[in-house]
Amino acid sequence: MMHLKILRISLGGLLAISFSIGADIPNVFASNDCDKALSIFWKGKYTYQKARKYRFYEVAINLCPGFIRPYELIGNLYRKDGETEKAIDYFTKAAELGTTNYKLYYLLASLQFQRGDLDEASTNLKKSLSIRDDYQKSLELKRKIDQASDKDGPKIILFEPTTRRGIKTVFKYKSETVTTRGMATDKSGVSWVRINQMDAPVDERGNFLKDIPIQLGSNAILIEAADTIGNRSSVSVHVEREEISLPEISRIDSAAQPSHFYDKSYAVVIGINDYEKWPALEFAVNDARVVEKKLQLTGFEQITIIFDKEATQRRILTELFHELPQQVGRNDRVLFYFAGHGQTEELPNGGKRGYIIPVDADTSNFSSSAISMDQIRSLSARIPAKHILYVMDSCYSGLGLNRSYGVSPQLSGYLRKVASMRVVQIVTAGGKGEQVQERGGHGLFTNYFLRALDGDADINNDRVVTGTELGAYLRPNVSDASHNAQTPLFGRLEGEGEFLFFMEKK
Amino acid sequence: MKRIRVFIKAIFLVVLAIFLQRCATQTVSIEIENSLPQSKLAYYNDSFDKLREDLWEKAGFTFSQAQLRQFRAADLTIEDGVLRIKTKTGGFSKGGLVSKYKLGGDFDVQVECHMDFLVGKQDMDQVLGFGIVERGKKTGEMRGIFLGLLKRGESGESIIHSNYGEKGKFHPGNWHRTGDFYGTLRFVRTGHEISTLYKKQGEKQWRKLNTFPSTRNDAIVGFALQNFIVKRNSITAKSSIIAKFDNFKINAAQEIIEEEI
Repeated sequence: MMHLKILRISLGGLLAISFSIGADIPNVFASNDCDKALSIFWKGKYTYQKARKYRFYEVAINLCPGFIRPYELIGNLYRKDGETEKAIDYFTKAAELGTTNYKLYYLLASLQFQRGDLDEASTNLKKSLSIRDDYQKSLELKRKIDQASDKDGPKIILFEPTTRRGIKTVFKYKSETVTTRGMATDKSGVSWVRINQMDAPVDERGNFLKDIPIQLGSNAILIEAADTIGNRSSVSVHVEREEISLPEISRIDSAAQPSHFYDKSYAVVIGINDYEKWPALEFAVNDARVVEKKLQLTGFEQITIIFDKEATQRRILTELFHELPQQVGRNDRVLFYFAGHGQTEELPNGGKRGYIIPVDADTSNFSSSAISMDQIRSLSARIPAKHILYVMDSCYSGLGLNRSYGVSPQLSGYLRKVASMRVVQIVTAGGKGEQVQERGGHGLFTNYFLRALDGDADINNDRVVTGTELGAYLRPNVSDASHNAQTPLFGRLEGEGEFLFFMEKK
Repeated sequence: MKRIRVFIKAIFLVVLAIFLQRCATQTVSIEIENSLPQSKLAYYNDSFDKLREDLWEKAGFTFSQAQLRQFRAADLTIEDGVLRIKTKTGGFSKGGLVSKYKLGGDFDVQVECHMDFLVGKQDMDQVLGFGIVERGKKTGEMRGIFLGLLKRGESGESIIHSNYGEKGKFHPGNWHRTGDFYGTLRFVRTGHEISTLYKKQGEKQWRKLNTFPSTRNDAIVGFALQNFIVKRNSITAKSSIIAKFDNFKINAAQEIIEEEI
């Protein structure tokens, strides 16, 4: 019979079930009896009658004022009964007692939000999300609070053309485009940036960059941005494009000389063999030395040479960003020669971005320690020279080149025309994934570059090699000589003029 | 006559032994269809590395004024990744955790537990329970289903058993004798039935204790240790009992309904 006896002994009520609530609400206990408060609390939890729930929870609080849970549940009863102020009071007490209940902070924030207390709601919502950052209700309320409190559009800072607060500034440009670069930030995130109604790409930090075409005379550049909520902001700047005075025809004789077209000729020549982290190269410095000599012979007066360990990212950028813009005039030419590594980055949007690799660049995180084509484009806009040519004896793509041919060579006065128009041109030794070939103590590309300046690229025998002639010569010749292992890329970053090389006098 | 009584007793014990043996070796295969994905269930699993207040609140229900007057909450501590519950002496004492969410539809939940019964303690009971409470929307629509270990003060026997209760009445089920228990307790609800199962440490197959009718109402889940049975009205409890719980797991559930707060 023991069997049956045992079976009658129930485990029922370990958690509590309704028929066990026989005891009425007690009022005979001393305060500060938290053990009994726990039991009373459970009676409140399991009763179906709302009035009894209130009473049980109140008794639990009276017995144990530091017992957090009854405050939370009474607060929620008041919330559901529409008594917002009482609900907030109880929720606030639970919060003051240090609850870690992310739902309580959410409910408190939602009541405060309904009441219009955006700051308090935001504070409690932060607490909720600090406890559980993926709680959907809190995230949704955060969006609502952000929308309600954010009435401003993104903050726009313009780096180029630079503006001065409160001063209407007019910039004078000779080129047909102006690089517009800046940053748009907003706490809800930037949705888009448009410059003169054209979409500008924006990176995750809010940086934007776009070349904007400008007309002769005064041009307004309007930068607009919108945040994810839809708030908009804008800044504008005025730029003026000047008509370029062409060189006097009388100065051009049959033997064209640099002085006929340029006031001064600058070159920055960089060669890197001994990289800190990238594989060493053998002939890059040697190539740079030979190019420097050739440039001296073809009319370049100011040549800056930067080799190996000096060729850091900072030094190269300083040269392009600071030194050259200070020295160079509007009727000058600038040649930038780089012999070293290049790299191509695949962008998330499917595009590519090319980099030249300074001596101190990382191998894994090169995008922050190398120099990108975006930077080169941007820096070119700072150099006021009429003609700029980048000669890169390294392989990479993602140049963002303009493939237009510019002015037709068949036109009369061709040289005069192209000499008068601004241009930034670039030629690289090869594209993405190609290896620079080295032969006879030189890089193959530089070898043909030197030959081009000797006159091999002078297609029309006018003793002037234009940038386009240089590209037209290097591309097939280097490709053939390397058995298609490297095919130079050539194009314009800006403008329709032509960089001009002049044959040395024999 | 005496010989006949002895013979009948012997026959009864043999039949009982056969019955219990059959229960003990029964293999169990219960599948829950259309369960939430494990990625969603995983949030609710608890290995008791810390006390997760987002999932649980402390149990502490008593059944009478007499129990309430002498009630002392048991100590809950986390030790080496295990939840340890220790009852207090000198009164009715209880400790445990109850879910802050409800399980909807079919479900399959389990918890590991470990309890060494004290010997010769007649001044208190030793009760470890794993429970499901199906709670309807009206008074009287509540049903509790329990699976646990019991050693009543007056009895020297420790057993594992399960039962269910509603409207003030308990419905007993099968029970097995057991000594100290190291193993896993499990509930599986499919359709309008809920099965109670257990598995001792080292065993591969589950033993099904009972299958009870289910209301299909949304259910909270919890577990507790206490030193008293429902009907006990006086207690001295000179000793503490200790149980350990680990690895609460929702193997499957068609729905999990969180409390508003």
